[in-house]
Amino acid sequence: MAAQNIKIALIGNPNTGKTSVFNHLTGLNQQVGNYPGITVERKSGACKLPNGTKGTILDLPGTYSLNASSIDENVVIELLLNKTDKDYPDVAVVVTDVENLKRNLLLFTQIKDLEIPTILVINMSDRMERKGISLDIAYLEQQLKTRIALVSSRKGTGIDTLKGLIVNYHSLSTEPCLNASSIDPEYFNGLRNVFPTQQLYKLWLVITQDVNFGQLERNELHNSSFAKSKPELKRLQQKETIKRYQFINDVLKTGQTIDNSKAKDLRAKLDRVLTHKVFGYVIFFGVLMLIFQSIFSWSSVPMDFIDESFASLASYTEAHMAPGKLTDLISQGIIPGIGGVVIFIPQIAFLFLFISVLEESGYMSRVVFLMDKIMKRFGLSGKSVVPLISGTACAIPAIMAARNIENWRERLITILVTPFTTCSARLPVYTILISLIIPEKMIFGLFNQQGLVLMLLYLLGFGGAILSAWILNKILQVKHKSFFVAEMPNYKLPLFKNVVLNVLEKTKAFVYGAGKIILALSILIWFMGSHGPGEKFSQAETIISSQPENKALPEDQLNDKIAAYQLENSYIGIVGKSIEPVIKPLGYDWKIGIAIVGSFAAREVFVGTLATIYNIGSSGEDEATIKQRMNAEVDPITGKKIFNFATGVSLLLFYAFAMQCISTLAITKKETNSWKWPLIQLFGMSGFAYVVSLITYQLLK
Amino acid sequence: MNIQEIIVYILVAGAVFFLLKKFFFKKKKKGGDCGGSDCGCH
Amino acid sequence: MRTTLANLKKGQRAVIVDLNIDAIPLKLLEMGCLPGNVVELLQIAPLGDPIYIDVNDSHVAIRLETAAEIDVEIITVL
Repeated sequence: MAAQNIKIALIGNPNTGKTSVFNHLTGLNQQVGNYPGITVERKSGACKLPNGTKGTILDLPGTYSLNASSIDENVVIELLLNKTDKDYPDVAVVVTDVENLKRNLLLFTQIKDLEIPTILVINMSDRMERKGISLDIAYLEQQLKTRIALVSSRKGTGIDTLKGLIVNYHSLSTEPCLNASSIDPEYFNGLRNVFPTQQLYKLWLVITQDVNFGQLERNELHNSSFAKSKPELKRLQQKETIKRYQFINDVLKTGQTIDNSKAKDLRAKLDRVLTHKVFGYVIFFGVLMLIFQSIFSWSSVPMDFIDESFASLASYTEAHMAPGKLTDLISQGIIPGIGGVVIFIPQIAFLFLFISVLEESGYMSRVVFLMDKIMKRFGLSGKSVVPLISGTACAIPAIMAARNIENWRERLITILVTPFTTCSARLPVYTILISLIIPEKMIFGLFNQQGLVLMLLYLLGFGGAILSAWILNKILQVKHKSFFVAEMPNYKLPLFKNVVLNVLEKTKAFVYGAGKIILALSILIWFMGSHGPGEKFSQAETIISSQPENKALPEDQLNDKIAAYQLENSYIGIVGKSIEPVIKPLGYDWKIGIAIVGSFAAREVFVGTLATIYNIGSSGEDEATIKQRMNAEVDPITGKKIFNFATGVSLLLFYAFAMQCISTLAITKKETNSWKWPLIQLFGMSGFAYVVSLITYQLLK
Repeated sequence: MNIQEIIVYILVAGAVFFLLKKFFFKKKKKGGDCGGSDCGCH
Repeated sequence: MRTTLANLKKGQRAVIVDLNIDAIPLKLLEMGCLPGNVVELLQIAPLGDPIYIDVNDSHVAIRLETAAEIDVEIITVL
């Protein structure tokens, strides 16, 4: 029995605590990746089972049934229908919520029809008593032809029972629970005669879905006499669903008793408050306020610490390594560059923390419900709220979250406008600019003025999204039926472990993903900044010191001047100078221009790039933070601060509206399957940003 | 050329190669890598 | 009394009699919105749309335009 590895697929409706069960089974042994070719998250993990057996658990995306309505759900079907897939499970574990058993069993009966050994997990068993639910497990096991594990992922009970069942999966029945083909015997008999070797239910799924099935010939089925019109198929699907529910109801009539006097509860009370016509919106706004205030105030302590640590690390390196090019690269390029990413880990972690709590607690669904009518007016759906809010972390997962929107038109508009929301990559840019141009003052002794400006920028992002949605709604000619079905899950206290794992995973992904790009760019920018063509660069020292007006300067000022002159004539200086005419009207000098160009790879590069440029541009070994350096920058001609109020506001607005993220464009292309929409995003958003910043700067300067 | 310079040039070449791969030649290999830990999201 | 789901008042319960299958997403059927099942209107959004129902123990929000395609027989009169 040694070295056996059981492949386990975890399947279940959304909101059944499937991920918690997964976390319990795998602990920290998780890997998050993607299914090849599509952007659906693939989570797998290793699990130790009794008797030294090992298990590999695949956490499949949540789905309500095997009738797929999104790419995520397709993944489930494609895997379960393809026996040759390397992930094809030895055993399927269907996770259900004891309070929604009836509905959750629908998926279970479908999986059983595929004749895969299946274990039924009834989760949230700790709530049974409070809800007055009791189950006759033996009866249910017999009727559903399976083994049941009663689990509480909250309390961590029942997991060992589940592991025991998994190890003994050979003894599970693979018989379907009901005969779904009786909904149209004639039709299914015909199918069986033509394809005697195939599973009937599998054929039926192939006929009704748009999924890839490998060797099973779709075309063959479609060209045969089994083709039916869409409405006919849907009618049959309805019949199938009714049939399944009849079976489930019959089973539960004996197998489950609910004491209704205990049932009505907290949910109704909370719903009354959270979806109240006044309090509902007040609470929602309060939650948003809390998020933004905390991002700014709570994270400022670790951020200042990180900023200073990197500055002293850089000067320490400079002082203690042998002088040379590599030392310069590390102290002027790599350390400030990396510091630019690390510095906003606290803010990102806070953001992901809030979003994950809102989702896990069930509150997000109430917001969807509250906002639908308003959003509909702008061509969006209530469900667009989820992408718009999670867009404050990163537009990429947010755009993927738009898959939940049933209506293609609403989904498209959501995808197009989501990048307007203030993503975490804009945060470091905002943070540093705000701290430079807005004085730190308390208003009403309660709100930090800088925090308020930050909140204003977030609102501006949402405003930009809503406004452009409204415009798109007017001009887009896509017609689509308006469907909207949003499950309102039970309220749950978020599980600490789930939230922490989620925050860790997302933050890690962010730091590694962005970190690599930023590291590479800082190396490149440092190189281009400290090398240049021709004599102007190599002879900078002679040229500057021979100028008569510099003769009397003290040594350190002279050295600064030489460094600045070199930077101007370096490769990066040449690039920057060449784009300066375009950005000058917005109030930016060529150094900011370089940072903006770098931002197209990743917005947060802005701060790191400026840090690198200013580091090269100063001769001294002075230990200064990024902020201090930016504050000290002056225009060589006018002698005024570069980061003055007008330029600062203009830059803030530019970053608020411009489309500066190649990765987001790539995901839009993938999700819309066309180059048209990402190009519209790129030119529409950036053009708008340019005009707004231009007007702002010209008015303020 | 001393050892420091050599290392610097290697690092710069590596960085350029990485960026080119990431943003210009990613279609073939990077089919659907986005959303995961290595998606360069941002 | 026969009416559509869109006309139910808050707290009213009804039995689904018939539905226009072409205008109803399959997902809603799968959640148990099927003829013969009892449905209760739990909440109406502050702006009148969407509505939040309990059908077959599923708690879902749907828009009025979808609800109008579902015929029901009211069982509790308020």
